[in-house]
Amino acid sequence: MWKSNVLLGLATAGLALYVLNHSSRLAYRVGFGPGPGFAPWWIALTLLVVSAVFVAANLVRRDATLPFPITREALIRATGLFVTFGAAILLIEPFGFTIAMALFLIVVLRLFEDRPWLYSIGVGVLAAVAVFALFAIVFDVPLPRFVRGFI
Amino acid sequence: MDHLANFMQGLGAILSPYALMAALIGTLIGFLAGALPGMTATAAIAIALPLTFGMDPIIGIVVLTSIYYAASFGGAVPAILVNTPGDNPAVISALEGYPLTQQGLAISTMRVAFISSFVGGTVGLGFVVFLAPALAELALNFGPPEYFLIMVLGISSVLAVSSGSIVKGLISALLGAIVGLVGMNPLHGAVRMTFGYYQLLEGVPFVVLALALFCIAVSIVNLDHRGARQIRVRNIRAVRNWPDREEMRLMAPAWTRGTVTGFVIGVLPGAGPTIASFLAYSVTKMTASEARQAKFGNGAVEGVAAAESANNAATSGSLVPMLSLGIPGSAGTAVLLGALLMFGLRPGPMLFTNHTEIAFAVLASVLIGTFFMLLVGLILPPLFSHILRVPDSVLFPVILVVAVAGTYSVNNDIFPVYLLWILGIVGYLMMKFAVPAPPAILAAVLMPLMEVSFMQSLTMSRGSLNIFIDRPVSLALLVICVLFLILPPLLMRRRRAKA
Repeated sequence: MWKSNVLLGLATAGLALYVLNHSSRLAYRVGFGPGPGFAPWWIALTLLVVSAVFVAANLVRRDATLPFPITREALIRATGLFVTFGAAILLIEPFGFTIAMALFLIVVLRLFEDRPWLYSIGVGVLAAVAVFALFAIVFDVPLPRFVRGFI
Repeated sequence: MDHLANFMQGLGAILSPYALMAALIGTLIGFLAGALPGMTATAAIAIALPLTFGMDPIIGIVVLTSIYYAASFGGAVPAILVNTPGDNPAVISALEGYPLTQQGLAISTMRVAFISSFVGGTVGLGFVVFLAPALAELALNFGPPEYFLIMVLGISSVLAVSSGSIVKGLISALLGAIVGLVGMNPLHGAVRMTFGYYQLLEGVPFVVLALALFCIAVSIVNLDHRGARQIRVRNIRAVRNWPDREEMRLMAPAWTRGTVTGFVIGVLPGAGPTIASFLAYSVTKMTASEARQAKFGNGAVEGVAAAESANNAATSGSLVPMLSLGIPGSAGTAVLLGALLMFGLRPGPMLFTNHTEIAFAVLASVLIGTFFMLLVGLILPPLFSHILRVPDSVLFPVILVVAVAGTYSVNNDIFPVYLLWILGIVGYLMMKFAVPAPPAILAAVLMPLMEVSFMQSLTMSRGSLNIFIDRPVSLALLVICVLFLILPPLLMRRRRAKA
């Protein structure tokens, strides 16, 4: 799993380089004190150094372990879940919160968790309506609703 | 003794059945708001405010104060049960409480959290009753240099909340600091890392970051394996439902540290209960014995006790600047201040002179609220723990739906939900790569405040760093910061030498 740590270090180093580049375009000093570029510049530089040391240490030692192993199956399922979650979020404004989230729950329960159709539809609709009722009615949060404004 | 007599008079004013019912309703609403990820005390108070228009001022204030207070209790419940803090100060309760749930101690740990909250809140309230005017005077001596050093003190607790690899904890803190700098710099107006989105001008909402790194990450990590779960919570038989004698012995000093730390931090406008809970946890971890050190990050009950008592003591402390000076220290106290003005009261130095009964009734309502929350905390945890009977395959998708609703409620806008999705991916990868989330949360909260305080300090001193040494309070804080940085490794070396 040391390869995962090397990958992590390279990713954070990349982010650090981006922030360094961005902050170099901002004023480092303004008047008597630091400018808007001061803090991000130093934080990014620190992150770059720490990342470089982290990568180097893992390339030398190669003995790291991870609590949640990164397997191909896990990554594929996680990708599918995030895509489904993202699609449901995109449906919130046109179809309303309840319908979008009910669809999300039905898809996850049926396709990812292999629950029967009736169970998935029942739990999905019930849970989405309950969450909507709690936030929109009890706490008066104006969650998006479908066409007629009912749900 | 005048203060005590006035407090008893205020208490008498709210012991009517009507006022007690109002306190109970406010407590339950506040608790629910605190427990729901994304909902905040501020939002709950703002929603309840119009409902109190026609009420007697004392009753209206009792409802709103109870909501404000109870919300600080509620965040610990989802943190302990499903590793999803209801609010930022409950992050420590997730860090230490969730492992305890996995050991069959969910009900006991929730009771620990509620008892600790009660202790911190009640003792903090005592400090407020007797010391409010003097503390307000002291708080006025805190300027930008002192605030900067308080933040540095807070940052030093990053290492304390980094379970596992310290390097990864540091990486997490730096990532959080970068997130904290997104948006418009408040002093110079420069826009940083918003990618052209005006919605990010005010920065990334902390609620969204916390939900993404905890709620979304934990849910997806649980769902990314078919069948066998990586983080099992179902079918864990309860070991016991109450803290045992050993845990009570560990909790007592944690309460002391948490209450004092939390109250002092809470008195400072803008410092907040999040910093208080992290600092109290850091001190508790630093002073723990060698045998207990290994428990931190894996279910240290004294960590939960310190953080929750600090959280509620800070909530009590935040009433000091609001009532004594008319300066709200947080969004919640700002809305409360608005409510008091609406009822014809003017918080400030004359409040306790011109409206003695109502001023102390506000404090007394806090006491009533904490007693109600203690009752809830002692009686209802077995009911809350039924959440653990819900199959993981249902529980975690529903948590995602709740997170979406909670995130939407931040600005009543869909943009934060998109942000939640993106940061959720980052949170998932962080969890898979064993990068701890609490340091990122802490750094994201502290970084903007640190930057502003530092800039203001150097502007005041015309660029000279001597400002941090010339002021007595600032010098004292600088010494404490140095001690915070050098003591943990020294103590660790000493413990190893003894062993």
